[in-house]
Amino acid sequence: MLRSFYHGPSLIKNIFSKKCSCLSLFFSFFFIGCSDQNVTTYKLDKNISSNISDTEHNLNESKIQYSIPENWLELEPTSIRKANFAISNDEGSAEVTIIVFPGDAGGLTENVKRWRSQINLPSIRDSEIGNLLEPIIISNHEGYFTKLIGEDDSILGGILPFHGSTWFIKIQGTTSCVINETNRFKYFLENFQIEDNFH
Amino acid sequence: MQILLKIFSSLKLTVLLLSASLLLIFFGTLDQVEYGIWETQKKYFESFFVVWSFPNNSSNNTLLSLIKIPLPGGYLLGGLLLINLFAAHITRFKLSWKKLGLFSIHLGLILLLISELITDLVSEESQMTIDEGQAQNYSETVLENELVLIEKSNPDYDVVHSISEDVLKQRKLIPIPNTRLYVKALEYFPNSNIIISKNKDIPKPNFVTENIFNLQKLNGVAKNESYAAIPKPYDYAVDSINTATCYIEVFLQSKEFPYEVDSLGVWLVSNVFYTRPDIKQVISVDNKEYDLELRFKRTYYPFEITLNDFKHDKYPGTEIPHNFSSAITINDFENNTKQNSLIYMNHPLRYKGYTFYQASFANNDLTSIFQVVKNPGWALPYISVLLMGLGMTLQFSMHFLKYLKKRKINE
Repeated sequence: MLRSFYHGPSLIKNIFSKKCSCLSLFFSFFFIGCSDQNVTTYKLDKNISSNISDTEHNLNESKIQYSIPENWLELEPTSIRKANFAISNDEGSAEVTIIVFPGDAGGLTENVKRWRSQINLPSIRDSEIGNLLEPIIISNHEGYFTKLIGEDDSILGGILPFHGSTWFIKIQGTTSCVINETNRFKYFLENFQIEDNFH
Repeated sequence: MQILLKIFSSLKLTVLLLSASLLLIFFGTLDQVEYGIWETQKKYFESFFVVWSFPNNSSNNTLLSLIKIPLPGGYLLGGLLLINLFAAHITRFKLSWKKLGLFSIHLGLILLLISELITDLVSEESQMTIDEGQAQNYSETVLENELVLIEKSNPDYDVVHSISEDVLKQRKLIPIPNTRLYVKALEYFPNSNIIISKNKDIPKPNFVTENIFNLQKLNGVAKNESYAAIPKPYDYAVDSINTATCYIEVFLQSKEFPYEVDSLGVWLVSNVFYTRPDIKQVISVDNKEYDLELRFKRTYYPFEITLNDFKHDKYPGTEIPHNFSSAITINDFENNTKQNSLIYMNHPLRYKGYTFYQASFANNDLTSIFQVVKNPGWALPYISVLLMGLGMTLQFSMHFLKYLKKRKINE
């Protein structure tokens, strides 16, 4: 359905009359700049290597292997999750998610703090985060395991720095369900494999 | 006019202004603990007036929190000092060889004040992060964000439409050049938590429930992943990165009725999404696709820098660093040239008006981070210090010679 915009036609007319003033043939063949008061428009040459993100390709191409416990229900991966599973039993429900970010994704401290806030745990000092992390080997690389137990909800998480990207493997759900799944989740983490083309 | 000139040329005013400058620096330093260096610089030195208030966090004493001290800002003090100096020259100083030293000192001071103003107004700072073996042709500043719509259909180039966060904050309707698209920021949060709103235990952000637009309009990750943003206080710490988020409503101009636009929906964008290639938010219009992203503000260069090798040398047997250096190659697209250079501590690279300083490193010494500074007035402080040094030498030498002459006569 078409509708008039709040500011009325006069504003729209006014906006339409503004023409984008091309600044210059800024950087000859590299990019062309064009700007009005609000928007700057430029072109990026695709032949320049910097304009293509290698990380993008690498991350999308990373293949993973895993075996899951019988009580985990595998769901379709989404645009964000490389894999995800649902767990539901008398104790409650939980979901396991596998997500990968380029870089350190804000760092260990920030991510553990973020997880704590997700299950309403009080904020703690950065220096105390180290006590919540225990080393773990995931896919033949050194990673970290954290156990965050909240009143209602809890999180167990594996964080794996892996050749310039960071993998987050997490189970989150009702506390009793998560505690019940602890051993199975750790077993899952230890057997989780990422295709490694970097060695 | 005469009275005005008398007031502005007075030495008392100079003392008053210099004292006020001391106070400004003192209170600015106190506030730096609360607001960090960038905000304090803006608040105290790039302003005409500032009010210092007792920090809320440091005490629960409500009486103390009522203390507020108004102060003149850096621009006002600098401007008045400049006028004071000019007025003094008009009224009190006469151009003569004997006063050459004094004139040189004052000229240096004027240049210093002007160079500070130029630096404040036009200098730009950002960071370029490069992995070993990789090339980079842009730098980013984590202090500012931009909304970009990227159209990639052309095989030779991408078209990038960029809107700064200052424009987004105005929450106005913004036409995207050469398209039928319009965007409008419904909410812009400089810092926020991103939550999954379908989880019943997590409260929905107020504005999603109370709001202005109906939830059916949500699109992209806000719809598919139920992501929502809740604002939180801005973190001023120097090394912190704030999670900026924005709810963007996208409109399409009608072909038949050019003065009417139709809403395509509301997208949630965040500067933490842009580093995640798995999050793609795309708007399809007129057989073209536009990637919608909020990211740290980028500056592109007409050259790219390849990091050949980063070195982090330590004193033997210790972890104490004695040198950081980056061996780089500059590939200039305009001149079609390639040249090698070494950037190390206190030895920046100056290239095409930009200065690249070795700022930091990461990723087990495989990544080098450069501070990129563009400051057209960078040479002025050097010239002003030189002029002041020269002036002082002249002035003291003349006094010394005069004294020697006097002593000789007396003898």
